[in-house]
Amino acid sequence: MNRPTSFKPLPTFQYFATGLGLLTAAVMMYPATAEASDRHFNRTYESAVLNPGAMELEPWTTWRAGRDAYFSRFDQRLEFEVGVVENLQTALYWNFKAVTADSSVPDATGMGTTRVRSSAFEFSGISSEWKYKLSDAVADAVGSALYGEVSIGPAEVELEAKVIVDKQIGSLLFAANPVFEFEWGMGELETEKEIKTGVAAGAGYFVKPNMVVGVELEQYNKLEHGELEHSRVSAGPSFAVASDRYWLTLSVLPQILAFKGASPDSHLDLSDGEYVQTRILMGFDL
Amino acid sequence: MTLRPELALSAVLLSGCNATLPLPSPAHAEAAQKRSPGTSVESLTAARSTYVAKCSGCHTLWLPERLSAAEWPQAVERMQTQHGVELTSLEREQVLLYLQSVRSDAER
Repeated sequence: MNRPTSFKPLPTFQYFATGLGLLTAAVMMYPATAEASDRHFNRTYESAVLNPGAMELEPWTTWRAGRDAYFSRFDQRLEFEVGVVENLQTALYWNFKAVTADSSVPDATGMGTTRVRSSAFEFSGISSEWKYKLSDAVADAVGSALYGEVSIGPAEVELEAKVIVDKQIGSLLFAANPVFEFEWGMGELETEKEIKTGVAAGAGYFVKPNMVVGVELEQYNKLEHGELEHSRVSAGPSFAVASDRYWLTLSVLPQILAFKGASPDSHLDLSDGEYVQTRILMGFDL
Repeated sequence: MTLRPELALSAVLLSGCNATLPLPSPAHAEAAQKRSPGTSVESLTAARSTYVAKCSGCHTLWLPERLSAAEWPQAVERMQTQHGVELTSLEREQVLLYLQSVRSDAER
C-alpha cells in the first residue's frame, strides 16, 4: 500500500517570491494601453458599484493548500453582477468546491488508525450579494459601502455582512472590510452554528493607471458554541490589472500566525486553516 | 538613518491634500465663465455630481489633473463611443467644463 505523502510547505518567503515573480511577469507582458478596473484588490472589497444596467461576469478560483495532513481545496465561484439603481448593485453566485484531503480511519486490526486520501467535488450552493455605496473613494473624504450576502447550499446556510471603507490618495489606495458571518451547518445529528468575524485590508500602489501592486491581510476568527476556537492572520502580495473590457486580480496569502488554535509544535493553525491561499479573480464586461 | 513615524505620517497626509475630487469654488466658476458665460458654482457642482454618478461605476474616478484640459474631451468621447457612457450633449459640456475649470493649473 502506498503511503500518502503529507503536504510539504515551502518557506513563507518562497511563496512571496513566487507570487512576486508571477506579478512581475504579468506586468512585463501586459499592454500599456489598457485602462479601467473596478477591483484593485483580490480579497478586500472597495466601495465602487456598477452603473444601473451594467453587467459583469466574474469567475473566481481559490486554492487552499496544506493542513496538518494533506489538504488541497479548490473553490470555484461564478458570479453574475448587475447594477440595479444608482449606488446599488446585486450579484448571483454559483459555488462549487473540490477537496482532496487525508483523514485518519480505523485500520484493519481495529487497534489503530491509518490515513486515507479522498477526493470530492460538489455543488456547494448559490449566493445572493447586495452592495450599497454610501460615498466615493475619490469624490468624498472616504469611500464607503454596505455589503450583505446570503448563501444557501445542501449542507449549510450562511449570512455575511461587511462594512467597506476605502480611499485613494494620489497613487496609493487603501481599503478595509470588517466582516461578520453567521453559518448554520446541517449536521447529521444537529444543526451546527458558527460565527466568523474578521477584517480584510489592503494597501496598493498604482504602478500604471490600470495596474495596482499591493499587500493584503486577512484576520480571521471562528467561534463555536460561543467560544473562540480559531484565530489567525494571513498576509501576502496582491496584483490587479485591467483592460477596457476585463480585469484580473491575484493574491497569494500564506498564513502568518495563529492567535488561537495553533497546531502542536507550530505557530500556525493547520487544523482549520491552511498554509496558503491563492485566488484568481476575473471580471468581464457584458 | 531611521524614518520618524510622524514625518512618514505627515508625508502621507500631505500627499493626500489633492486626493479628493475638488468641490467647485467661486474662483472655479469665474474661470469657467471665460469659456462658458453663465456658469455658476451650482452648475459646476451639478456637473461634478454627474461625473461621479456616470463614471465611478466603471472605474476609479480620475482626478482632473490626470489629463490636460485639451485631453479631457478626447477621453470623454472615447468613454461614450467605446464604453457606452450615456451623457447628453449638455451633460458632456458641463462635465468637461467642470474638469477643465477645477484643475490646479486652470486659468483663474
